[in-house]
Amino acid sequence: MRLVLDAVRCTRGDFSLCADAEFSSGVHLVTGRIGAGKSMLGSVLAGLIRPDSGQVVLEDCGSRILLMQFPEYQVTGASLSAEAASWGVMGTEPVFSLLGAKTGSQDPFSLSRGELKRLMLACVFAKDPDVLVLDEPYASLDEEAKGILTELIEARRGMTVVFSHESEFAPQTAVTWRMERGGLVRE
Amino acid sequence: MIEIEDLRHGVLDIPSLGIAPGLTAVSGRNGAGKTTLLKICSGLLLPDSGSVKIDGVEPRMQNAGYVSEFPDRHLLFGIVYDEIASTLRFARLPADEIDRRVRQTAEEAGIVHLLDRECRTLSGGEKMLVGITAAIIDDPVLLVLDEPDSHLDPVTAEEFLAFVSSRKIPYVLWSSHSRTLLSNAEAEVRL
Repeated sequence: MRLVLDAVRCTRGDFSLCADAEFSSGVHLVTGRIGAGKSMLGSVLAGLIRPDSGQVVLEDCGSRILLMQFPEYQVTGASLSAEAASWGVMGTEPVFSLLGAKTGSQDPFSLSRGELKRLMLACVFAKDPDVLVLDEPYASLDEEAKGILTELIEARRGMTVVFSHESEFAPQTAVTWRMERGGLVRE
Repeated sequence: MIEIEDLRHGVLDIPSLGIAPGLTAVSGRNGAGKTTLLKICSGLLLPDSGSVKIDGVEPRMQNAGYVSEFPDRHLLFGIVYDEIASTLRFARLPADEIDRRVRQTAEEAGIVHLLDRECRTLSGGEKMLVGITAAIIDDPVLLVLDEPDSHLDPVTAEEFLAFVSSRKIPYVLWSSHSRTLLSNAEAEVRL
């Protein structure tokens, strides 16, 4: 499994993202200060933004999912169970109880942000795509949930790209990358 | 002093709590009621029962700045400059004073380069910085920040903590899951 960014360039206003990189199976951790272009790179990896120039080459990457930085942007179900169903999962998978993600008739927008984040994480881990891009997955989680998330990330097969500011709980074994003013560097 | 008496609302049940001036961290598990407590203290929510007083005055009668954990929920205007100026414009201050204070506060916050940007094009962390600057500009008695560090890298979070401290706001309530930030607080309320 490989995902290659071949001289990829995306420009939005004054900001340009430039990336020449190869991602393989396993866990990748991308850090960088705010506004460095992390979320834009996440969207490129997930196929949601088409580069202005260069190309994204996929090898054996059948399914790709991006979990956005703001879980509220991605909610489409009117209830917790409908939200799980919208991802094509049952809501009864073990990861739901592991993360303490609730299901049922409650409105997703009545949850706190941390609870909503747990639900969305449970949905994408239950879906288990080949390439999973997680944009700030630790944001809003309490310490217990952060630890569980790291275990889930490390146990995954396929490719997992984590964009995060988290330093205490982030996966220790990941390939690390740093973004700086739109450029991507492997550390 | 912020004085909370017999507060009951949703999952919250606080018989009596006093919060001294300074930076107070609010911690607790997901769903413990942190956001609910912060909304009640800033006057956005009225409690089912019980009372909250900030220096003897109800929150709704005080000048409170509130920054939501959902950054999009507190950005009302299209352009960053207008968002930061909004509190002062609603207070009908003279235009030249508003302009001076917006530029000075943005300078201190390190976000002058964002002033002409459209809010919708900001990154998550930048939205949070703009929201905090807008909440701070009118020197509130109480500043409430609901998990701002969820969207900030550690260096920016530290810089912003220093900026918030420099404004000498009497009460700052800051909810967080970050041990580093919790250790910077002068007091902690754990739910």
